[in-house]
Amino acid sequence: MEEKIINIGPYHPLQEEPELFKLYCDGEIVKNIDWVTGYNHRGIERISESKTFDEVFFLVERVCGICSTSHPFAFANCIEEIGRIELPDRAKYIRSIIGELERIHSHLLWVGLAGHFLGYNTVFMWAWKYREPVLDLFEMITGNRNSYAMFRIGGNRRDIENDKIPRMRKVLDMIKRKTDLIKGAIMDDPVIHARTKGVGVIPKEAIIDYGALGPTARASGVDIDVRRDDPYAAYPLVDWKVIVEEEGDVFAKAKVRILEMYESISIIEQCLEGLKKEPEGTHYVPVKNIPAGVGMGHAEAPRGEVFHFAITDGSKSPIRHKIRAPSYQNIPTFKVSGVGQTISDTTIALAAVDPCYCCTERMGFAYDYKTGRKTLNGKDLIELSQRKTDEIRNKLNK
Amino acid sequence: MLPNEYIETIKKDLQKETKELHVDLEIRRSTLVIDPSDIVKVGEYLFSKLGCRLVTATAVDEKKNFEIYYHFSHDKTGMVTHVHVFLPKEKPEIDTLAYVTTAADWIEREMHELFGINFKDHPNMEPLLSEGNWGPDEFPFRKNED
Repeated sequence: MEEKIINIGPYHPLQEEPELFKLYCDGEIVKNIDWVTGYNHRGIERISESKTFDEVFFLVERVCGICSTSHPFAFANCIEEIGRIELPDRAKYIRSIIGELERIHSHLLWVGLAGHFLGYNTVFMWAWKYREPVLDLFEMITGNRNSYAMFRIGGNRRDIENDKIPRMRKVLDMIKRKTDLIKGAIMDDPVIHARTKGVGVIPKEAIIDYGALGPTARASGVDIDVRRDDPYAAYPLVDWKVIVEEEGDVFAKAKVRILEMYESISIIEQCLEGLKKEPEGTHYVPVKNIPAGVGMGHAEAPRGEVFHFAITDGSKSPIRHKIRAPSYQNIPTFKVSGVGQTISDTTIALAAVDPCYCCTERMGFAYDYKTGRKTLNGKDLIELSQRKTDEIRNKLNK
Repeated sequence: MLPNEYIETIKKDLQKETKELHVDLEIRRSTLVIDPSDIVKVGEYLFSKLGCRLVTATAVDEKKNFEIYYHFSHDKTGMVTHVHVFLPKEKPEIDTLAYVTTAADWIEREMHELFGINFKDHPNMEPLLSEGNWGPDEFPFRKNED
């Protein structure tokens, strides 16, 4: 039978981010997958070299819109490793609370989207409805529903005052009850079982080979989690466990994420207890200079390990700053999870790693090789698009 | 395995390849400086023998050389080893690690595209990001072009 190409993109109809999957199909079966990227270049690594350390936090927070605290988290770990800065316990608790609240809202977002992909819109409506109170909590403690601007070198920019703890506990109790509801709607539903069990399986060996991360790896029996393996913030101070499943299919990934939400709630509750023991106002230590050196920091984002590496020379800016988002490692596993599936199963298999395109594409640079300039103005962009249209026209006319 | 055992194993098994080894057990980091020609051997040892994961790699444009830090994470101990190589400015070239671990595939393509470092025998050296937005001989992350 003749091989047909089915394009998903260049703008994903459901994930609403720019990317292009080419599914090479033989009838209903996907035989190969190609991925085209490069629609979303922002040059963040390079911009970072022109910012002061304090400004870089605001920059890296904008690498990703969903897990907007995971990049500042990793960057803070990185610079604090270079400066050998030890945080007060209150600062550690606040950081873990922000990180875990973010995991809850990010996992709820994924659960909702996954339901939407499967045509199970009840789950979509529920998950997104109960994500809202989490965002409201963020607004209460940071002033923003997203991009919280909480971290700085040596701690946090704002404290979480103890009088906010009862309100936070109330919302967490509600989220726990609603997570029970969503868990029941997904884990006990025969239709969900039929659509996700045995679908998009990534074997353990492939996870190790591709260096895949986060819930994608843990659903395939690879027991890695930076929060435990290389502890940071308040994670060594509280009791929690890493959720690992063996099956490696879409169902296992959903299960890992849902069960992780319970762990996150438990971590936050323990951190709130911890906050009560530490005096208010001790949410940072003042830091004056960052010495010359080489350092790295990683943090477990909802999608897996975010990795930052920086080289400093004693000045106020990094001279090299490398950023690696988890989707960069997870997206190539589509070659394993999507191939051999039917087209309808491939769409959910592709969504199962919770890919985040804006994270993955953060490293390019707008560069016009004709003029030698490194930024493009409106006229340049029109010229560029005309040139590309001509190229396509020439290709088609051949 | 404990962090110090991990370091002792590396010291013993990579004695010949090691040019310098800096270890800080307190923060669980180590830097291993090697000759570029040993990268496949060292990469294969860390990935296959010790069970390390290739986190990513960082290319740096320094005045005298190009440098690459390959970041290997040993998740059982939390140790991270930066494997550090220096490549000459005139001909920055090194063997690919893509046959050792697929995790190296994309990051090598990215380093090739942004820094012009050549990865010998890479299975697919196509541009990953530029989508034709800059010329094939333009490397925007090189510093001497500023």
